[in-house]
Amino acid sequence: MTADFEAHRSYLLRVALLQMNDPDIADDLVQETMAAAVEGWSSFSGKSSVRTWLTGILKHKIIDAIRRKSREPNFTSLTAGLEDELETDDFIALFNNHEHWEDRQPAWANPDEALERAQFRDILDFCLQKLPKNTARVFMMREVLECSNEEICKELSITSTNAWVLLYRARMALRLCLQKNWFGTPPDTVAEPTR
Amino acid sequence: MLTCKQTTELLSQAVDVELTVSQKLLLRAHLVICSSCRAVQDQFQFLHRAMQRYRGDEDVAASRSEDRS
Repeated sequence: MTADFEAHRSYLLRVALLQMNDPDIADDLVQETMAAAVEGWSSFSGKSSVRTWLTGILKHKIIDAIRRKSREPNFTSLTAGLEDELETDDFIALFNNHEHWEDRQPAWANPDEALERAQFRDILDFCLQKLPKNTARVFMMREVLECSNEEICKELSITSTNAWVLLYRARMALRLCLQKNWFGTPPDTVAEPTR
Repeated sequence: MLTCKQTTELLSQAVDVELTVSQKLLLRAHLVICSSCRAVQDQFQFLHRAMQRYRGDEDVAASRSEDRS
């Protein structure tokens, strides 16, 4: 049994790039991941999908790379620009002075049908790329690499409060981006009309 | 009583960790009366499913039906 790892290369690259912000490092990490996957293929249990398994290998490569980077002599901070991301409040306009919604927030129609569509996955990717650097990184560590909050705080040297804030900001921004680019204006016949 | 902003913050945390009993009670009291925050709750949970799909979990459909039951 063999697997077509190449089919997952562009996905792995996108994930690595959102973590490292350096195309060369991201490329190296994906290359190492592929090599480790070929070598370790016999240990793949088949309990998860191949992509999930590759993601797990990439996670270890990314954490090693983060640790290596923070030991570099001219190292300043992994999370440059973090303060700006924590302080800017793009969502303030959504709430009134009493922290209640300025406008009613609509529910999304048939969101799970969108998951089946390649076009929706492109929009999701677009929205992920648009997130501020540290916000994207923490969100991807949590939701894609499945790091615990403790792991995120430890590897990036941030407080748990900051991690919560970044995860919140990521979800609020993604929600607005998907609302604007998909659910608010369905590009074509997204769903069957509901009665 | 939670504000909508506080509610959305807790809804985000609820995706990542188990909330305390008192946090859950506060949330429930707010969600009962606020359709906007209920929409956000659904959307945060949907985002979580979307990211599971993104990372290639093939049992997304199964976990989805569990959520609903």
